[in-house]
Amino acid sequence: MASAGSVRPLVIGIGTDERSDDGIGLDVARELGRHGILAADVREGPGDLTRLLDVWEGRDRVILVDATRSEQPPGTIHRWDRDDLRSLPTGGAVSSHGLSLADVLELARELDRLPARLTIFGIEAGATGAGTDRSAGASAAVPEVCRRIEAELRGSGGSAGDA
Amino acid sequence: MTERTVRVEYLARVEGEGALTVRVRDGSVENVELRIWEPPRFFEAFLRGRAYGEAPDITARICGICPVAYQMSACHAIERALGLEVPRALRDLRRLLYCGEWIESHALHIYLLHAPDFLGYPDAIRLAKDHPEAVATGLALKKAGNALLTLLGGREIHPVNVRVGGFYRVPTREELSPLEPVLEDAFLAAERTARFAAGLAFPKVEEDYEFVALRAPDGYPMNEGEIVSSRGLRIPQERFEEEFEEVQVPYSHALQSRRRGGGPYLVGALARYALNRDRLPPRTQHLVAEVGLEPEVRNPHRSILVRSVEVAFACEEALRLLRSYGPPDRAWVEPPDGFAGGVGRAVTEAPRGILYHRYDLGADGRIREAKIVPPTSQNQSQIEADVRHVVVGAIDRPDPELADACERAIRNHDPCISCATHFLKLEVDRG
Repeated sequence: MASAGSVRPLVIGIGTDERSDDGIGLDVARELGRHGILAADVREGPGDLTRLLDVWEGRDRVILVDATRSEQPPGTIHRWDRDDLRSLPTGGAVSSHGLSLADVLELARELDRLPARLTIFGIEAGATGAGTDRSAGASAAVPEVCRRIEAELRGSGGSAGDA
Repeated sequence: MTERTVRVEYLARVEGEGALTVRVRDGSVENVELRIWEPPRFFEAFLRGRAYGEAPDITARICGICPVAYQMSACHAIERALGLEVPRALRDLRRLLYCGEWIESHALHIYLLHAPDFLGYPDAIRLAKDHPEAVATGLALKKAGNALLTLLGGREIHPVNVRVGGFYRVPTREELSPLEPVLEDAFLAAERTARFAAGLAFPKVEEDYEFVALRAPDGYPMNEGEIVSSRGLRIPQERFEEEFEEVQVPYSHALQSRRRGGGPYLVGALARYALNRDRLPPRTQHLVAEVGLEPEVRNPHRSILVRSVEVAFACEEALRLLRSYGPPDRAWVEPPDGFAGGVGRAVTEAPRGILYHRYDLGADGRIREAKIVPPTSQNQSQIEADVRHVVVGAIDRPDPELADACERAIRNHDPCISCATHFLKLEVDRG
């Protein structure tokens, strides 16, 4: 793992564009990309989440954004830190093509490949059926999550990097 | 009458959603039904009316694990309809892309889906706790396959750079050469994988499979060759539908295939290896000898070892193609003028076995009809037969153990249920 502060933080939006609100993490990445974000790289996540271990290799500070389902109103914002991750449900594989995000994070922990500082924002999804439209509730959370990500990165001192 | 029902709500570590029902009456197996309840996806229907050039990108969406297979079968079938000959250099580049998909797909199955079965873990996470180096090797292999896919396919998932006639853009020598050390390391990882797999304890099973795969004049099959079987079948790809038929079963959304007038057959790694062992390149042959792999593997549990050998092959082949690469004159070739419409059929070797596409094109280049027969559809009947044998041999075991044995029998064949029409639910009905 790279030494602290040697590389820019990375923000990764995860999801599937074609499954309605499941693409909301991608919307956050695009929104951040559109406005530019201080002192961080932004990318859309790999479809195969095991690739996250490669995508964040060498990064000390990573923020993930993904859709969540917890029977709360669409657009509800959740936040977890690296040490909260064990409260995420693993196993049971909701994703059939490989591993779920919680599984991949647990796998990364076992392999000692979790970033030193990892934050996950979840945006509660409404509909996740086929289609590219987002629900009003989930979409409304995008600017707020962008604002909170920028605040965290500023608050953290971000990284020195080339910012 | 004594009756027994065992239920497993879904089968884990398979690609897709489905269920299995086993009915036992008076101590004997009445029937085994692999039920694929993932909704039908209607790809063949919504290809109708589309321009032929759209087919590779539309069909790639059928599967996130093997999109290249769909692109390859689509392109070859359409090119056959158009009478379009694709030059060797572009065919080699396609083969290189396919190597990437084989490596990535097989590594996923070997380490994250299949290996936990042999070592007594419920999943790859628990496996990683005790065997981190094994899981790390799997992830490194996936990464190497992914690097090929990303470079040649334009992105890492659902590649967008494949087109009828070739590629939208071909890489430069300078772009490809950094992949040589990556693939050399991957070959070494594949060797370690085969040694790891060879050391696993395998349940003793021997199945009487009819293996079906492609066989080409030279090289281990991917995009080219005749359809051959271990029972003497040898036909050109165009005659696939004459020898194989799809039947509807009431309990599944996926059609099942069988030999016309015959029974189930098996496609995939076991079949390819049995029918093409002599076509493996030297370093992989050496590995086969080292791990003591028999000439024909009829124990489906040992498919993990055959897949490991195929990963080594795909790395060795990718290295050969990388080292001999010179950019083709053109990224793609155009079809001859005067196309009056016609039908094209093609079979290529997806990681899970032969994948058949047929397209009937109008003179305007639009698709009139499409037919797609994925490998998992073809293996369904054989998987049911394997499960039946497991149940017969383990009928006295308690339901959870029996259910676990059935799930393993299914995972042996790496079914991609989402391709066949997603989780498997297992239900054993003992009456």
